[in-house]
Amino acid sequence: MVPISFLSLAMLAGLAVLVIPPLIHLLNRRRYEVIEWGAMQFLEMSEVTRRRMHLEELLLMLLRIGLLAVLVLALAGPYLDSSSRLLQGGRVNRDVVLVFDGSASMSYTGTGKSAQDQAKEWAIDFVQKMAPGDGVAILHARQQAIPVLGQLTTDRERVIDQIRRMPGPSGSASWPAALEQARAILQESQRSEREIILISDNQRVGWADDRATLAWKDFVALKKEQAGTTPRAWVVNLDPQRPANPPNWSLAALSASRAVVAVEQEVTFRTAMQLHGQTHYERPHRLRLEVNGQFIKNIETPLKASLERGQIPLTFKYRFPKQPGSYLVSLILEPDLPPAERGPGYVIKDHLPADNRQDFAVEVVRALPVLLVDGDTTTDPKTRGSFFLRDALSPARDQTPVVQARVIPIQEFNATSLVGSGSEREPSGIDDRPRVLILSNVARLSGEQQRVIDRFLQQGGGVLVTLGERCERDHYNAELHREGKGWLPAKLDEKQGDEKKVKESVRPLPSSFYHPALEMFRRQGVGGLETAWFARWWKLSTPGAGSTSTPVALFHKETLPFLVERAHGEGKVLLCSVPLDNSWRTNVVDVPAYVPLVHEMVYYLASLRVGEHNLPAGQPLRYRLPTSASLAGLTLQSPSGETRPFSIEATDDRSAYAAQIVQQVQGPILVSEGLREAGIWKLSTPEQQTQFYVVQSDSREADLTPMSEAERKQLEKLAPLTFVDHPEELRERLSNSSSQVQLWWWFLLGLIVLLCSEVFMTRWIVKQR
Amino acid sequence: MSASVHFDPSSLSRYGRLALVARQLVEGFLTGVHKSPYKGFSVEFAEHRQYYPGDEIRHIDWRAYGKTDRYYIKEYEEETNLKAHLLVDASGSMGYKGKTQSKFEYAQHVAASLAYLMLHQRDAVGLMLHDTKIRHMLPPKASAKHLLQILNLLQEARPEGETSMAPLWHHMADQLKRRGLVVILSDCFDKVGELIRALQHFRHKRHEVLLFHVLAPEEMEFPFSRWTEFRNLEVSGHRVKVDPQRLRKEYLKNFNTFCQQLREQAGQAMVDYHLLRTDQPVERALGVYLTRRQSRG
Repeated sequence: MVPISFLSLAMLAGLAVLVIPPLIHLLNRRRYEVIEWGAMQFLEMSEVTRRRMHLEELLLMLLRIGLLAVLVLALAGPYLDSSSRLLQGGRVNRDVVLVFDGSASMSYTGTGKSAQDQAKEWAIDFVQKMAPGDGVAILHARQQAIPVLGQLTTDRERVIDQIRRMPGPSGSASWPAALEQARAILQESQRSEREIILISDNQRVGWADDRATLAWKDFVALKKEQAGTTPRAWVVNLDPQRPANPPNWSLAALSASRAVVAVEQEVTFRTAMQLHGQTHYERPHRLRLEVNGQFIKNIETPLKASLERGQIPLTFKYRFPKQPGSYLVSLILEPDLPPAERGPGYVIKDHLPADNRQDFAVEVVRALPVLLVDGDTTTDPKTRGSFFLRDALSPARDQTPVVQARVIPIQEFNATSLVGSGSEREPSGIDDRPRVLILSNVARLSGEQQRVIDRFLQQGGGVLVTLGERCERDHYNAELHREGKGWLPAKLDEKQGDEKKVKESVRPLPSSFYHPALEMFRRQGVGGLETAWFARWWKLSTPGAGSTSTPVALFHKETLPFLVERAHGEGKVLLCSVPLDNSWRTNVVDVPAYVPLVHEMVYYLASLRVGEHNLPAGQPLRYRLPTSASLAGLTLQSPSGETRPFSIEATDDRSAYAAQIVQQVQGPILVSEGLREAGIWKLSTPEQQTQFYVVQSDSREADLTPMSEAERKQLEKLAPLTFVDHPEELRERLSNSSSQVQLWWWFLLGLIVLLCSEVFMTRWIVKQR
Repeated sequence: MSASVHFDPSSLSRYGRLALVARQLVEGFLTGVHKSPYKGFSVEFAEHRQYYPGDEIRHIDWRAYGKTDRYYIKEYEEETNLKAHLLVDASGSMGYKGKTQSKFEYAQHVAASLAYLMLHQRDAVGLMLHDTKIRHMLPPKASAKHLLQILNLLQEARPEGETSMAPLWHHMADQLKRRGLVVILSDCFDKVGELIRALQHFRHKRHEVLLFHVLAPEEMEFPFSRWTEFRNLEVSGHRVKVDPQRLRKEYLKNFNTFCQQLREQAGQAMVDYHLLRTDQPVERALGVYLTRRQSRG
């Protein structure tokens, strides 16, 4: 069947004129003259002539009928409807990439079914109505675009099956990235008809917020550099009835005072309840705390609160059990009563449950492994300066210290020192590889030692350097600081103060303690750190405007730096301008704050790896393997519940996660492809240990404000997008779009041909007379 | 002294318009002829017989009386030197009338005029009206009274019936004992071959044949343009509805072929063929006749 449609179907009524030629013929035959005739014998025609005349008359009449038919059809505006063929089958095939919004806002249920379900239903219907042979690919737009069907396929059943099995929405969506990936898929297509359909909910966040606008600009800049045509991209709003600012409860990102803790230690967690589209606060039904999926308790929520900033801060504490390992702390907000307890007329406060949960992965260790490198070359440990630090971290009388401190003299420090005991993992699954390295009053470092520390820092280690009498200034400045290019945060200017002049000693300035490790000492009287005095100290400076070093604690006198911090690679270095022992005259080891200070600094430096387990989407997964580098038995479970092993070989199929093993200073580490889906990922070891990875969802998703018309117009100008307000409108637009091939001029051509034929035939017949 | 036919105008008028037309035509025509057509005409002497009271005195042969002293009456073989047979087709097809008079009317005038002329020249004229069969027949006579009979018959006749002349003409050829002039007035709408054979039959009997082919201009030109139902004048119920424009070429081809065949084959059969169109003056036929008569001597 030729898929021709007409712009004006009413015009087709004009086909009634087709009866005119036969009618004229019949009328002509009815109006005749009568002649009484004698020469009848000459009126007899031969059969051939009679047939020829009949044929000529028939042909002429058909020509005239055809002429009128083509004229009427041409006036009715005929067009070849390739879009309707997209939906009805039987036309030039096209390729379509369906991009689903995978952001959390798609789970909004305020208008009946969730936007995600509506999107699935619409897409399945759309695919079912496609022509056989049309290609489809599917992407799930999240922080990164996830290929659900990364290559164009004509297998509709498979497409529909994949749409049905698509995981629920979470996190945010990066549309420019998804559009770029859709374009890449369509570049393989040789077909002229190519469409990208972005199925979304018109949420401003992700489309037109500041971050998204920047991303669009980058996308457009990239597009200008690339050659080739851009397929049309349609943005269809699957939830057009959604109100402008619907009521929504959500939780702000969960943070912890420590990401690494020792067993039976208490950790403080912070978050906030965020209320959108509400004028007053009403206490939620409950706020559940779960650890490793087990209900622990309900967190108390305030009875009354002001909504000035739209959020209510929450703090709670949790003490971890004796068992070391990876712990998942989850906080789940339930603003509404369970459906069974809701009375008649109950108004639902929250239609978007996806943003009511926050998770945090905490590493609980039996004791934090710390390596103390002492610059003192004497053999008696008790006479060495590091004794005070070691005793503060792991008191000799404490059977179960929270820090497992190991002291070695500087000459013994090398790469193997950081591999720990080198033993297999302890049964808990927590290794004893040092998390923090303390260089205590070390005179100088050999080239090998410098390189080991550099790599340790690059790979996320934490280093505390305490300066003392032995430290060689020139060596530190030339080899370790290197005018800001080395890992040492500050340049050593000179040793200042006099041990005999205690009155001229310097004291820490608590009001400058804004560093997370020192925050608890900021208040006067806590631990009495402000009462500590140092008769002698190193004067430090951080030259250079572009220096990344920051003094994080100061002395009273002349705002001299007490502590200077600098990030190096993925690790951090804290430089202390005093030895933190009794080598120079000081009372610091006697003040109560001494032990907490050292603990805080060590735990702060150890927590740098918090980002390994609580990470934004798209970051690679890292897992520190035991010394035997093997992937055997390791599996990873995605938030949607799919469990797959790891594979070194790059695989195109989705049976395993591609991974590689990177040798680091502290041993091998598994690095796997980006964690693209927001939520909880679980890595399981052959020893039945679980390592949680929390891919943070974007808390901005809770803001359901829709895009304004102006923002959409601006986007349409910026990027090759066409916004469509309703799914049905998209079908209409597709069929009315450029894929519609106007045929009227073909009909006009036919009309001219028929007209010429008619004139020719008439003249020919007249000539025959 | 030859016998003459007297045309009394008062008596002619009794026979209506046809007689007047004939006379007017003939006399008008003769006025234009300088040489008298009567010169050299004579009657054929047959025998003498005895006078009986009652015979006209003027027929007494006074020379014979002088020699024998008895009254003898001179008798003649015939009262004319020519026997002419007018064969007029009165079939239905002759009734066709276009813008001019009908073919039959035309033939009536021609026949009447010829009869008038022939009698005027003391020729004997007979008349046969026919369609498929002989309707009326008058044997040739040269009396003035005979003219009136001829005219009367012509006047009364109406064209009707089918045309099937060939058998009839054969019949006539057999019937006419003495050779003479056969003048045929017909549209000849029959099979050419059969007609020619019939004409040849006349020729075989040593008759001279003058064929006046009477046709209407519409029949020769077929000038019709609108859809037309042609109804057969001879067979009631036979009708043909056609677009004349589409048919014209075919018709003219058929018609001209027929005429050409008739003319050629008539010529070959030594038949004097003349086409008479009804829009042409009747005198033309008279001219043809006189030329023919003169050439005969």
